[in-house]
Amino acid sequence: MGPPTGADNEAEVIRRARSGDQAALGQLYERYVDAVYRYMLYRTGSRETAEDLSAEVFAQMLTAIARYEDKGLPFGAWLFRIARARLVDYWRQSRRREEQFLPLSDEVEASFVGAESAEGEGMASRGDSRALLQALGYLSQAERELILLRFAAGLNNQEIALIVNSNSKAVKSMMYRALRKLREILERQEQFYRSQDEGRG
Amino acid sequence: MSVQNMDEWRKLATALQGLDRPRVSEAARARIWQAALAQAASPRRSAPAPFFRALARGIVIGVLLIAGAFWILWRSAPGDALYPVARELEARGRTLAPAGQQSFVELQVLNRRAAEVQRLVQRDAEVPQELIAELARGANKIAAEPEAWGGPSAVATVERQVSALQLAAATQPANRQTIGALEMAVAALNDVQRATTDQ
Repeated sequence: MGPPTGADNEAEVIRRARSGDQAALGQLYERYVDAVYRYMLYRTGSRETAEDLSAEVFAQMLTAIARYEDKGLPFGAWLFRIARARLVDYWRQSRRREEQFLPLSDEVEASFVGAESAEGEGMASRGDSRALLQALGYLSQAERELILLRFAAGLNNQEIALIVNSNSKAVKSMMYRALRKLREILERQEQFYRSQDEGRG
Repeated sequence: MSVQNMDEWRKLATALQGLDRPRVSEAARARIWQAALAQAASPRRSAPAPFFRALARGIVIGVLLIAGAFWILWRSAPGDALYPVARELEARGRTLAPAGQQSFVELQVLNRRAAEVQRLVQRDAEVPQELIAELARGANKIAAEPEAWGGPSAVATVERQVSALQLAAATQPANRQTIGALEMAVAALNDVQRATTDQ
Protein backbone atom coordinates (compact mmCIF):
# COMPACT_ATOMS: atom_id res chain seq x y z
CA MET A 1 0.00 0.00 0.00
CA GLY A 2 1.36 3.45 -0.85
CA PRO A 3 4.95 4.64 -0.49
CA PRO A 4 6.99 3.13 2.34
CA THR A 5 6.55 5.89 4.87
CA GLY A 6 6.66 5.44 8.61
CA ALA A 7 3.59 5.32 10.82
CA ASP A 8 4.68 8.49 12.59
CA ASN A 9 4.85 10.32 9.31
CA GLU A 10 1.34 9.14 8.44
CA ALA A 11 0.06 10.27 11.83
CA GLU A 12 1.45 13.73 11.13
CA VAL A 13 -0.15 13.80 7.66
CA ILE A 14 -3.47 12.72 9.15
CA ARG A 15 -3.21 15.41 11.83
CA ARG A 16 -2.72 18.07 9.16
CA ALA A 17 -5.46 16.58 6.97
CA ARG A 18 -7.91 16.71 9.89
CA SER A 19 -7.25 20.41 10.23
CA GLY A 20 -8.17 20.87 6.57
CA ASP A 21 -4.70 20.95 4.98
CA GLN A 22 -5.38 20.26 1.29
CA ALA A 23 -1.84 19.09 0.61
CA ALA A 24 -2.08 16.51 3.40
CA LEU A 25 -5.44 15.30 2.09
CA GLY A 26 -3.85 14.95 -1.35
CA GLN A 27 -1.00 12.96 0.18
CA LEU A 28 -3.40 10.54 1.84
CA TYR A 29 -5.27 10.17 -1.42
CA GLU A 30 -2.06 9.39 -3.32
CA ARG A 31 -1.08 6.88 -0.67
CA TYR A 32 -4.32 4.90 -0.74
CA VAL A 33 -5.92 5.41 -4.13
CA ASP A 34 -4.27 2.39 -5.80
CA ALA A 35 -5.25 0.03 -3.00
CA VAL A 36 -8.85 1.25 -2.83
CA TYR A 37 -9.20 1.16 -6.60
CA ARG A 38 -7.78 -2.39 -6.82
CA TYR A 39 -10.13 -3.59 -4.10
CA MET A 40 -13.10 -2.10 -5.95
CA LEU A 41 -11.89 -3.42 -9.31
CA TYR A 42 -11.57 -7.01 -8.12
CA ARG A 43 -14.89 -6.90 -6.27
CA THR A 44 -16.91 -5.39 -9.13
CA GLY A 45 -14.98 -6.46 -12.22
CA SER A 46 -15.56 -3.07 -13.85
CA ARG A 47 -13.10 -0.22 -14.17
CA GLU A 48 -15.78 2.39 -14.45
CA THR A 49 -17.60 1.20 -11.33
CA ALA A 50 -14.31 0.89 -9.47
CA GLU A 51 -13.51 4.52 -10.33
CA ASP A 52 -16.94 5.75 -9.25
CA LEU A 53 -16.85 3.84 -5.98
CA SER A 54 -13.28 4.95 -5.26
CA ALA A 55 -14.38 8.57 -5.76
CA GLU A 56 -17.22 8.01 -3.27
CA VAL A 57 -14.81 6.53 -0.74
CA PHE A 58 -12.46 9.51 -0.97
CA ALA A 59 -15.36 11.96 -0.93
CA GLN A 60 -16.41 10.42 2.36
CA MET A 61 -12.82 10.55 3.55
CA LEU A 62 -12.79 14.30 2.82
CA THR A 63 -16.02 14.95 4.69
CA ALA A 64 -15.44 12.61 7.63
CA ILE A 65 -11.73 12.87 8.31
CA ALA A 66 -12.27 15.63 10.88
CA ARG A 67 -14.11 13.05 12.98
CA TYR A 68 -11.45 10.35 12.54
CA GLU A 69 -9.53 9.49 15.68
CA ASP A 70 -6.92 6.78 15.84
CA LYS A 71 -8.37 4.91 18.78
CA GLY A 72 -6.86 1.57 17.83
CA LEU A 73 -8.25 1.85 14.31
CA PRO A 74 -5.48 2.57 11.81
CA PHE A 75 -6.30 5.00 9.03
CA GLY A 76 -6.08 2.28 6.33
CA ALA A 77 -8.58 0.11 8.18
CA TRP A 78 -10.88 3.13 8.66
CA LEU A 79 -10.72 3.91 4.95
CA PHE A 80 -11.42 0.31 3.95
CA ARG A 81 -14.38 0.18 6.29
CA ILE A 82 -15.77 3.07 4.25
CA ALA A 83 -14.89 1.22 1.03
CA ARG A 84 -16.67 -1.90 2.22
CA ALA A 85 -19.77 0.08 3.20
CA ARG A 86 -19.83 1.84 -0.19
CA LEU A 87 -19.58 -1.51 -1.92
CA VAL A 88 -22.50 -2.89 0.08
CA ASP A 89 -24.52 0.25 -0.79
CA TYR A 90 -23.63 -0.21 -4.44
CA TRP A 91 -24.87 -3.79 -4.50
CA ARG A 92 -28.00 -2.83 -2.61
CA GLN A 93 -28.80 0.14 -4.84
CA SER A 94 -28.11 -1.72 -8.05
CA ARG A 95 -30.09 -4.66 -6.63
CA ARG A 96 -27.22 -6.96 -7.51
CA ARG A 97 -25.15 -9.39 -5.58
CA GLU A 98 -21.47 -9.98 -5.98
CA GLU A 99 -20.93 -12.22 -8.97
CA GLN A 100 -19.45 -15.58 -8.14
CA PHE A 101 -17.24 -15.26 -11.18
CA LEU A 102 -16.27 -11.72 -12.01
CA PRO A 103 -17.05 -10.84 -15.60
CA LEU A 104 -13.52 -9.60 -16.20
CA SER A 105 -13.23 -7.59 -19.36
CA ASP A 106 -10.01 -7.70 -21.37
CA GLU A 107 -9.05 -4.31 -20.04
CA VAL A 108 -9.44 -5.46 -16.44
CA GLU A 109 -7.46 -8.57 -17.15
CA ALA A 110 -4.84 -6.48 -18.91
CA SER A 111 -4.58 -4.17 -15.94
CA PHE A 112 -4.16 -7.17 -13.68
CA VAL A 113 -1.57 -8.94 -15.81
CA GLY A 114 0.15 -5.73 -16.82
CA ALA A 115 2.02 -5.14 -20.04
CA GLU A 116 5.37 -5.61 -18.35
CA SER A 117 4.56 -8.98 -16.85
CA ALA A 118 5.57 -10.94 -19.90
CA GLU A 119 9.17 -9.94 -19.47
CA GLY A 120 9.06 -9.19 -15.75
CA GLU A 121 11.08 -11.66 -13.75
CA GLY A 122 9.22 -13.51 -11.03
CA MET A 123 5.93 -12.09 -12.24
CA ALA A 124 3.00 -14.34 -12.95
CA SER A 125 2.43 -15.18 -16.58
CA ARG A 126 -0.83 -14.13 -18.24
CA GLY A 127 -2.07 -17.72 -18.00
CA ASP A 128 -1.24 -17.96 -14.28
CA SER A 129 -2.97 -14.66 -13.58
CA ARG A 130 -6.07 -15.67 -15.45
CA ALA A 131 -6.09 -18.98 -13.59
CA LEU A 132 -5.80 -17.14 -10.28
CA LEU A 133 -8.71 -14.84 -11.08
CA GLN A 134 -10.75 -17.85 -12.07
CA ALA A 135 -9.75 -19.74 -8.93
CA LEU A 136 -10.77 -16.79 -6.74
CA GLY A 137 -14.27 -17.33 -8.04
CA TYR A 138 -14.41 -20.71 -6.31
CA LEU A 139 -13.78 -19.19 -2.90
CA SER A 140 -16.57 -18.01 -0.65
CA GLN A 141 -17.21 -14.26 -0.59
CA ALA A 142 -15.63 -13.95 2.84
CA GLU A 143 -12.50 -15.85 1.77
CA ARG A 144 -12.20 -13.85 -1.41
CA GLU A 145 -12.53 -10.62 0.53
CA LEU A 146 -9.74 -11.61 2.90
CA ILE A 147 -7.43 -12.49 0.01
CA LEU A 148 -8.17 -9.20 -1.74
CA LEU A 149 -7.74 -7.10 1.40
CA ARG A 150 -4.43 -8.85 2.05
CA PHE A 151 -2.92 -9.00 -1.43
CA ALA A 152 -4.73 -6.37 -3.50
CA ALA A 153 -5.05 -3.74 -0.75
CA GLY A 154 -1.89 -4.73 1.10
CA LEU A 155 -3.39 -4.75 4.60
CA ASN A 156 -2.10 -6.90 7.44
CA ASN A 157 -4.19 -9.41 9.39
CA GLN A 158 -4.80 -7.02 12.27
CA GLU A 159 -6.10 -4.30 9.96
CA ILE A 160 -8.26 -6.83 8.10
CA ALA A 161 -9.69 -8.03 11.42
CA LEU A 162 -10.73 -4.47 12.25
CA ILE A 163 -12.41 -4.10 8.87
CA VAL A 164 -14.34 -7.36 8.95
CA ASN A 165 -15.15 -7.06 12.67
CA SER A 166 -13.19 -10.13 13.68
CA ASN A 167 -9.95 -10.81 15.52
CA SER A 168 -6.53 -11.25 13.97
CA LYS A 169 -6.24 -14.90 15.06
CA ALA A 170 -9.48 -15.79 13.32
CA VAL A 171 -8.42 -13.83 10.24
CA LYS A 172 -5.07 -15.60 10.20
CA SER A 173 -6.57 -19.08 10.31
CA MET A 174 -9.25 -18.19 7.78
CA MET A 175 -6.60 -16.70 5.52
CA TYR A 176 -4.57 -19.90 5.77
CA ARG A 177 -7.59 -22.00 4.87
CA ALA A 178 -8.43 -19.69 1.97
CA LEU A 179 -4.89 -19.85 0.62
CA ARG A 180 -4.77 -23.62 0.94
CA LYS A 181 -8.09 -23.88 -0.87
CA LEU A 182 -6.84 -21.52 -3.56
CA ARG A 183 -3.67 -23.57 -4.01
CA GLU A 184 -5.68 -26.78 -4.33
CA ILE A 185 -8.02 -25.19 -6.87
CA LEU A 186 -5.07 -23.96 -8.91
CA GLU A 187 -3.48 -27.40 -8.71
CA ARG A 188 -6.66 -29.07 -9.93
CA GLN A 189 -7.02 -26.52 -12.71
CA GLU A 190 -3.46 -27.21 -13.82
CA GLN A 191 -4.04 -30.97 -13.78
CA PHE A 192 -7.20 -30.50 -15.81
CA TYR A 193 -5.48 -28.39 -18.47
CA ARG A 194 -2.50 -30.77 -18.53
CA SER A 195 -4.78 -33.77 -19.11
CA GLN A 196 -6.54 -31.87 -21.86
CA ASP A 197 -3.23 -31.06 -23.54
CA GLU A 198 -2.16 -34.69 -23.28
CA GLY A 199 -5.48 -35.79 -24.74
CA ARG A 200 -4.93 -33.49 -27.72
CA GLY A 201 -1.31 -34.59 -28.12
CA MET B 1 6.29 -30.01 3.31
CA SER B 2 7.28 -31.74 0.09
CA VAL B 3 9.27 -30.04 -2.66
CA GLN B 4 6.25 -30.19 -4.94
CA ASN B 5 4.16 -28.57 -2.23
CA MET B 6 6.73 -25.82 -1.84
CA ASP B 7 6.62 -25.21 -5.57
CA GLU B 8 2.86 -24.92 -5.51
CA TRP B 9 2.95 -22.42 -2.65
CA ARG B 10 5.66 -20.42 -4.43
CA LYS B 11 3.61 -20.36 -7.59
CA LEU B 12 0.57 -19.17 -5.62
CA ALA B 13 2.61 -16.47 -3.91
CA THR B 14 3.88 -15.25 -7.28
CA ALA B 15 0.38 -15.19 -8.70
CA LEU B 16 -0.96 -13.35 -5.66
CA GLN B 17 1.74 -10.71 -6.02
CA GLY B 18 0.07 -9.86 -9.30
CA LEU B 19 -3.05 -8.74 -7.43
CA ASP B 20 -1.01 -5.81 -6.15
CA ARG B 21 -0.15 -4.73 -9.67
CA PRO B 22 -2.82 -2.57 -11.32
CA ARG B 23 -2.04 1.04 -10.60
CA VAL B 24 -4.43 3.81 -11.36
CA SER B 25 -3.36 5.75 -14.43
CA GLU B 26 -2.55 9.43 -14.01
CA ALA B 27 -5.70 10.41 -15.89
CA ALA B 28 -7.92 8.14 -13.76
CA ARG B 29 -6.14 9.31 -10.61
CA ALA B 30 -7.01 12.93 -11.43
CA ARG B 31 -10.55 11.96 -12.43
CA ILE B 32 -11.25 10.12 -9.17
CA TRP B 33 -9.83 12.98 -7.08
CA GLN B 34 -11.86 15.61 -8.92
CA ALA B 35 -15.02 13.53 -8.54
CA ALA B 36 -14.30 13.03 -4.83
CA LEU B 37 -13.76 16.78 -4.31
CA ALA B 38 -16.98 17.58 -6.17
CA GLN B 39 -18.98 15.03 -4.15
CA ALA B 40 -17.49 16.24 -0.89
CA ALA B 41 -18.38 19.85 -1.79
CA SER B 42 -22.00 18.95 -2.50
CA PRO B 43 -22.68 15.83 -0.50
CA ARG B 44 -25.58 13.81 -1.75
CA ARG B 45 -28.39 13.31 0.67
CA SER B 46 -27.52 10.06 2.30
CA ALA B 47 -30.01 7.26 1.98
CA PRO B 48 -31.90 6.53 5.18
CA ALA B 49 -30.33 3.89 7.34
CA PRO B 50 -31.67 0.36 6.82
CA PHE B 51 -33.41 0.41 10.23
CA PHE B 52 -35.37 3.57 9.38
CA ARG B 53 -36.16 2.27 5.90
CA ALA B 54 -37.53 -0.93 7.41
CA LEU B 55 -39.45 1.10 10.02
CA ALA B 56 -40.94 3.37 7.35
CA ARG B 57 -41.89 0.33 5.26
CA GLY B 58 -43.47 -1.27 8.34
CA ILE B 59 -45.49 1.86 9.12
CA VAL B 60 -46.74 2.12 5.52
CA ILE B 61 -47.72 -1.56 5.48
CA GLY B 62 -49.40 -1.17 8.90
CA VAL B 63 -51.38 1.87 7.78
CA LEU B 64 -52.45 0.09 4.58
CA LEU B 65 -53.52 -3.00 6.53
CA ILE B 66 -55.51 -0.93 9.03
CA ALA B 67 -57.09 1.13 6.24
CA GLY B 68 -57.89 -2.09 4.34
CA ALA B 69 -59.45 -3.68 7.45
CA PHE B 70 -61.60 -0.57 8.04
CA TRP B 71 -62.67 -0.51 4.41
CA ILE B 72 -63.72 -4.18 4.59
CA LEU B 73 -65.57 -3.53 7.85
CA TRP B 74 -67.24 -0.48 6.36
CA ARG B 75 -68.39 -2.41 3.29
CA SER B 76 -69.60 -5.45 5.22
CA ALA B 77 -73.25 -6.45 5.22
CA PRO B 78 -75.33 -8.97 7.24
CA GLY B 79 -74.04 -12.46 6.52
CA ASP B 80 -70.40 -11.36 6.14
CA ALA B 81 -67.89 -12.81 8.57
CA LEU B 82 -66.78 -9.37 9.74
CA TYR B 83 -70.24 -7.86 10.05
CA PRO B 84 -70.62 -8.61 13.79
CA VAL B 85 -67.27 -6.88 14.37
CA ALA B 86 -68.45 -3.85 12.39
CA ARG B 87 -71.66 -3.70 14.46
CA GLU B 88 -69.71 -4.00 17.70
CA LEU B 89 -67.41 -1.13 16.68
CA GLU B 90 -70.42 0.90 15.64
CA ALA B 91 -72.12 0.34 19.00
CA ARG B 92 -68.96 1.46 20.84
CA GLY B 93 -68.72 4.53 18.62
CA ARG B 94 -72.30 5.43 19.51
CA THR B 95 -71.70 5.18 23.25
CA LEU B 96 -68.45 7.15 23.02
CA ALA B 97 -69.87 9.96 20.86
CA PRO B 98 -70.35 13.26 22.75
CA ALA B 99 -73.96 14.30 23.51
CA GLY B 100 -73.91 17.08 20.90
CA GLN B 101 -72.90 14.61 18.17
CA GLN B 102 -75.40 11.85 19.05
CA SER B 103 -78.03 12.78 16.44
CA PHE B 104 -75.36 13.06 13.72
CA VAL B 105 -73.97 9.61 14.64
CA GLU B 106 -77.48 8.12 14.69
CA LEU B 107 -78.20 9.48 11.20
CA GLN B 108 -74.91 8.00 9.96
CA VAL B 109 -75.85 4.62 11.42
CA LEU B 110 -79.24 4.73 9.68
CA ASN B 111 -77.58 5.70 6.39
CA ARG B 112 -75.25 2.73 6.79
CA ARG B 113 -78.23 0.38 7.34
CA ALA B 114 -79.83 1.68 4.14
CA ALA B 115 -76.54 1.11 2.26
CA GLU B 116 -76.39 -2.43 3.65
CA VAL B 117 -79.84 -3.19 2.30
CA GLN B 118 -78.81 -1.87 -1.13
CA ARG B 119 -75.66 -3.99 -1.05
CA LEU B 120 -77.61 -7.13 -0.18
CA VAL B 121 -80.08 -6.48 -2.97
CA GLN B 122 -77.21 -5.99 -5.43
CA ARG B 123 -75.77 -9.32 -4.30
CA ASP B 124 -79.17 -10.99 -4.74
CA ALA B 125 -79.00 -11.95 -1.08
CA GLU B 126 -81.98 -12.09 1.23
CA VAL B 127 -82.48 -8.96 3.35
CA PRO B 128 -82.94 -10.03 7.00
CA GLN B 129 -86.21 -8.93 8.58
CA GLU B 130 -84.33 -7.45 11.55
CA LEU B 131 -82.64 -5.05 9.17
CA ILE B 132 -85.97 -4.10 7.57
CA ALA B 133 -87.47 -3.48 11.01
CA GLU B 134 -84.47 -1.42 12.01
CA LEU B 135 -84.94 0.86 8.98
CA ALA B 136 -88.62 1.38 9.71
CA ARG B 137 -87.93 2.05 13.40
CA GLY B 138 -85.26 4.58 12.48
CA ALA B 139 -87.55 6.42 10.08
CA ASN B 140 -90.30 6.57 12.73
CA LYS B 141 -87.90 7.73 15.39
CA ILE B 142 -86.91 10.68 13.23
CA ALA B 143 -90.53 11.43 12.32
CA ALA B 144 -91.47 11.53 16.03
CA GLU B 145 -89.09 14.42 16.75
CA PRO B 146 -88.00 15.86 13.39
CA GLU B 147 -86.65 19.10 14.93
CA ALA B 148 -84.22 17.10 17.09
CA TRP B 149 -82.55 15.59 14.02
CA GLY B 150 -81.55 18.76 12.27
CA GLY B 151 -83.91 19.30 9.30
CA PRO B 152 -82.50 18.65 5.80
CA SER B 153 -80.03 15.95 6.78
CA ALA B 154 -82.83 14.09 8.59
CA VAL B 155 -85.02 14.32 5.46
CA ALA B 156 -82.17 12.95 3.34
CA THR B 157 -81.68 10.06 5.76
CA VAL B 158 -85.35 9.11 5.77
CA GLU B 159 -85.37 9.34 1.97
CA ARG B 160 -82.51 6.83 1.93
CA GLN B 161 -84.49 4.50 4.23
CA VAL B 162 -87.46 4.73 1.89
CA SER B 163 -85.29 4.01 -1.21
CA ALA B 164 -83.68 1.03 0.49
CA LEU B 165 -87.03 -0.36 1.57
CA GLN B 166 -88.43 0.17 -1.94
CA LEU B 167 -85.54 -1.89 -3.31
CA ALA B 168 -86.14 -4.62 -0.72
CA ALA B 169 -89.88 -4.58 -1.43
CA ALA B 170 -89.22 -4.88 -5.17
CA THR B 171 -87.21 -8.05 -4.61
CA GLN B 172 -89.59 -9.45 -1.99
CA PRO B 173 -93.04 -8.31 -3.22
CA ALA B 174 -94.83 -10.99 -1.22
CA ASN B 175 -93.18 -10.08 2.06
CA ARG B 176 -95.77 -8.27 4.12
CA GLN B 177 -93.34 -7.14 6.74
CA THR B 178 -91.21 -5.37 4.13
CA ILE B 179 -94.25 -3.73 2.54
CA GLY B 180 -95.46 -2.62 5.97
CA ALA B 181 -92.06 -1.20 6.83
CA LEU B 182 -92.00 0.70 3.55
CA GLU B 183 -95.42 2.19 4.26
CA MET B 184 -94.29 3.28 7.70
CA ALA B 185 -91.12 4.84 6.28
CA VAL B 186 -93.06 6.72 3.59
CA ALA B 187 -95.42 8.09 6.24
CA ALA B 188 -92.41 9.11 8.34
CA LEU B 189 -90.86 10.84 5.36
CA ASN B 190 -94.06 12.84 4.80
CA ASP B 191 -94.08 13.88 8.44
CA VAL B 192 -90.44 14.92 8.41
CA GLN B 193 -90.85 16.86 5.17
CA ARG B 194 -93.89 18.64 6.53
CA ALA B 195 -92.14 19.48 9.78
CA THR B 196 -89.10 20.80 7.97
CA THR B 197 -91.24 22.98 5.67
CA ASP B 198 -93.17 24.37 8.65
CA GLN B 199 -89.93 25.40 10.30
